[in-house]
Amino acid sequence: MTLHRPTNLVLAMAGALLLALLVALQWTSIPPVSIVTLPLVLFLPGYGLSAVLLGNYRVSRAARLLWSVGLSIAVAIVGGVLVALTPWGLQTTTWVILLAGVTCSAGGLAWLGGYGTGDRGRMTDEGRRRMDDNKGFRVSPGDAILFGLAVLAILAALQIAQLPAPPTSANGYTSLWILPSNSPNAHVIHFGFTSQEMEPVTYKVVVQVNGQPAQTWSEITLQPGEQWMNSFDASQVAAAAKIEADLYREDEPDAVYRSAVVNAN
Amino acid sequence: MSTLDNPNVRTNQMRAIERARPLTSPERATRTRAQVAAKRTASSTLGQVTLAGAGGLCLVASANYFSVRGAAWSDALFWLGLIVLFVPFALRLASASATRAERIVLILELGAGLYLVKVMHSPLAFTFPDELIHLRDLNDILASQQLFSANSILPATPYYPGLEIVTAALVSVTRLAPFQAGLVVIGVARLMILLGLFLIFEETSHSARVAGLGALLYTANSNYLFWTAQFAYESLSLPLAVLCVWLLLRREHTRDRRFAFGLTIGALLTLCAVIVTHHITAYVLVLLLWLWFVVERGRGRNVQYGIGKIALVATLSTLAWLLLVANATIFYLAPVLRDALQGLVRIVLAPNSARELFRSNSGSVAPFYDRIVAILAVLAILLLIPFGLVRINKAYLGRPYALVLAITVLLYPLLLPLRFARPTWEISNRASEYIFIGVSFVIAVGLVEFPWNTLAERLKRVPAGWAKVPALCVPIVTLLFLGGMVSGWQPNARLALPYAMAAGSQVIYPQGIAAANWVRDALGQNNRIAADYVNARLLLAYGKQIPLSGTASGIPFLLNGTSLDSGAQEILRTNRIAYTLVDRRMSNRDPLTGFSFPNDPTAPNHLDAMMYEKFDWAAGVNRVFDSGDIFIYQMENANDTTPTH
Repeated sequence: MTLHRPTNLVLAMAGALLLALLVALQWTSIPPVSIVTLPLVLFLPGYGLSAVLLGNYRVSRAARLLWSVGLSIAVAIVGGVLVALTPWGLQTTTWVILLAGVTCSAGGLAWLGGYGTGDRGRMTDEGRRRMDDNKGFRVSPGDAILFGLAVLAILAALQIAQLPAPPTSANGYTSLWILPSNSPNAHVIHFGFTSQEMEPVTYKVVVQVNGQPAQTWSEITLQPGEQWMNSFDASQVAAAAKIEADLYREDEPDAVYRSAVVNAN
Repeated sequence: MSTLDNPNVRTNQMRAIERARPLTSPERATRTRAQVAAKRTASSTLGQVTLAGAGGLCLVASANYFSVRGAAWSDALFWLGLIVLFVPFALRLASASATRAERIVLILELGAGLYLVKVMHSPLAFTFPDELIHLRDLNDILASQQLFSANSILPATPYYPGLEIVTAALVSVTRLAPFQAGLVVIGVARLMILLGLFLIFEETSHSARVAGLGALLYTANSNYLFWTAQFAYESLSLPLAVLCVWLLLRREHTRDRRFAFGLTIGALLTLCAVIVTHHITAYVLVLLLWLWFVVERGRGRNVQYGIGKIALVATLSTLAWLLLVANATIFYLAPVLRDALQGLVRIVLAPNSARELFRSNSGSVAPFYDRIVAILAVLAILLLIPFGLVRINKAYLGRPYALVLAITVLLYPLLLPLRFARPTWEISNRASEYIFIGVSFVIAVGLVEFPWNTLAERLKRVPAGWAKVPALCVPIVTLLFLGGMVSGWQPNARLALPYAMAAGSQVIYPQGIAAANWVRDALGQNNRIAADYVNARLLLAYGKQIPLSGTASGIPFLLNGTSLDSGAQEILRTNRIAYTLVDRRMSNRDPLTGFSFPNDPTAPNHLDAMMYEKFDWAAGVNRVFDSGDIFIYQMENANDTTPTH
């Protein structure tokens, strides 16, 4: 079907408004809808602008594509700088207004001016020379099958790329931390550790004050990704005392695995 | 009968094409026969080429898979994958029978495929150093909805927010995560630059074949595969600059005022976008416009709308942005240029102080076969350039932009010696993505239009669709591509490293990321933290801190010293450092591989213990975090210069 002159512009403007509505209704939290709104940023504003800037001139599809995408990005950048100067700043609402607004304004101007993006219109020199733009290029059923196989292969490649490395590729670790309470009157020391080991590990925690064991927690088993937290009451501890949390692994009970130190104030 | 089918129209069109091409061009007869051949072929080879390219991508994905698992032969698989990906496209683009539309689709597919090589290298998160800097800028814009927040690692970047603005728009509208939106923006930019170069080369040469081959050759520049595929401002600014140039090129010869006006507006809009996106690209574009203006004055007989006013507007706009908004750039670029100049002088005065080729700053050395390919590629470029220049001298003197491209090519051999000096290596390397635009065009002209093509055309016993492929073209182009890949990226960073590890149902990330996340959650945001190059970027992007790592702040002296002496104390005070992060792994010192788990977990990997134990012995310093290799020290009470025991 050959689309007549104004139809492409009307479709572009209607599309921009529809996508703006989807964004306003927050339907973009649904992944397929999210992808559908991509043209609102990366294509439609430039398409509308190209219609009004090119006037009645036809250019090749490749040129139209570059115009549309490139000008859309340029509109977002320049428009974004200007919008950031306003009190409203760069938020979803202002983006939607900017991008849909440019698409509809430019498209509307082009439509009113009688410009178009369809088959009618004068040929540019480039358009005239590129008459074989759509010729000699046919996608046969065999090609379509090959394209489909290629897409499947690429999707498989991307899936392979995202596979996590096996546990043997590197060493896991455990992170121990210690912090005094944020409250100035509280004499509580918070501490904890997170396991990023490759398998479940059993730990022991010993809190020492000036080198002397003050409190011990044993038989703490964490799965990979799990966290353990506790606190130590330092109200009876002298000022400037050194409070140390030492972490031991059950399979190496004599070696301090991790150590964190804080000075009591 | 429609206009398109009118034989008289076709004849007139072909005559117009003939007039646009010099009579001595061998391409003229080739194109005519190619058009006839194209009509006779039932379909293109697009399906086969696409499938072959996808096969190459699968091999690259497999190479990354086995690399993460420590297979020593994964590099060979990577090379094989790149060759399988690249060669079919090169074969088809070099042939004379492909139609214009097919060439465009092929170029876009190749661009997408090569981009996926980088995406598959880091499919889960940004892992290149500059990407993390721009990720922080992006997150600041999303959080504050304003521009120009501070960035302690690269202060100039918030003042060139073009990339972050577009990506923020995408995040806001589509609700994609910043990483995903960044991938989309850069992917689109990658396609834009190849399409833009195709159209520029076609406009200049009036040959889709030269255009396709030229765009293909551009992928051979040393920064194409990885550096300009990263989420960084130059990756977007260069495609915008190419678009601007194309619009101005179209404008040069149009005779219609209305059309010229539209092109001017489009060019000015993209010019503004370039200025807001990247400083160096804007400066290069300004220089290019002035060069174009000079050449146009000398050679542009049929130019209707000249470049002069645009060059003036570009100059004034760039200066206005630099002086009124982004004057931090001056303090960022001036030392780089000064160091480069000093480095060059040092090389001239003391040649034995030159940098060793094929050894990265982190000490990794390229294998022997890498060096051979890189050297052969450079030699091939130097050998091919004269053929293209001779052809341009014969047939393109009336086209100013062709001469501009030819002039820029002359910079290529001048930039090569800069690779011998450490401060100037970066300039030489970074200039390649600009200079190579001219290089790729000139070589494409030479390969396609130099009379040696007539030898290949005499080959009778090849399938019709492939009859026009110059015999040596494809191996040469492939050599250039592989050589560029080798020159631009150190070999141990080419393949994926372990980034996410499966531990049962959990995924474990490297210590630096865990540390950065902990700092954000436990200590709050915007603490001033001294850290090394790699961890500073992780603290910036994920930790939302104010990390300090540069030489100017004295941080390397603080981190690498073996005592907290008065000098170290002064650094702490001057920079108001609240925390210090120490990473005792040597592998962390490599800026390209330090963001992942070390590739060989059994290899010895620790720095001198005194570099971090000095903090343990200092009074008033709390060790608040210990993950085995990363320690975070709270420095606020560090007021005793004498280490205690």
